[in-house]
Amino acid sequence: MSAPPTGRSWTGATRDRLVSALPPDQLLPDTQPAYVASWIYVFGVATLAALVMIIASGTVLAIGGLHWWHTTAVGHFVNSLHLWSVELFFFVMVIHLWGKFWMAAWRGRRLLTWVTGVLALLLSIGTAFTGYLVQTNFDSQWIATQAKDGINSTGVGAFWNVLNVGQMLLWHIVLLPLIVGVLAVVHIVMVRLRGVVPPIGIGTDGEPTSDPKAFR
Amino acid sequence: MELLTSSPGILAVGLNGTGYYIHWGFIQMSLANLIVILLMLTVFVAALVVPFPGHRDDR
Repeated sequence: MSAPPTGRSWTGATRDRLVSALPPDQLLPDTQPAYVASWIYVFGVATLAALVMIIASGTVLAIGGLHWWHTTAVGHFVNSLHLWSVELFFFVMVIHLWGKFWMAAWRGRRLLTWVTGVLALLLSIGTAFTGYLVQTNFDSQWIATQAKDGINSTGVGAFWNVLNVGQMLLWHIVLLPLIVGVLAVVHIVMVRLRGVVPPIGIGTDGEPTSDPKAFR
Repeated sequence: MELLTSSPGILAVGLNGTGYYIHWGFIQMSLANLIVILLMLTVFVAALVVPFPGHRDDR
């Protein structure tokens, strides 16, 4: 009996394309170009680490529920862990953004990497705003009543009601994190596909070059 | 802003008071936000100039 032909079925074709686009040594490399040995390249993975903490602490909050996070010491701790993970997330993500902006990180067919990063930042801001609305305390009530005027003035309030805690909670813990998570995965896969952007004027071998491709 | 101590060796800052705001023309910003922005700028500059540990030039 001969071996089944590869690439005939959609699963085989998809596998062949994935392995050819992202061979294991490129997907999970154990070495990086010399120019990556700088602290400015650390903030992307720091953002990812903070995102993991946010999702983990948010999952625990969802398991415990609002009565638990308002009335118990451990609940308060996990609530604070969630908040400060978000503070750290935005802190390091904006430094990551500054670093990538000033090195024009969209060079070398990396536009999709840049765009998914921008979208992840914008969606993260939206996710954080809905987080303010679902604290279930006086602070969230105040923020919701202030936000409703702004949202209503755009016309979006007809179907996106910031005073509706149930709707905001589901946006905060399901819809927006799902989109941010998918964007983060696509962003990271694009980094692995195209590689870490070299500094302006430096070739992929880490040496200075006059090749125009190193500048655009 | 009030400094609170709940037990020896543990210091916390009470955040229940009125926030302090900086006014600079039409720009208004809470002192806390200004401190965070200055911290971010400091970390950004430090990331550019502080040598990365364990880096070998032959790699």
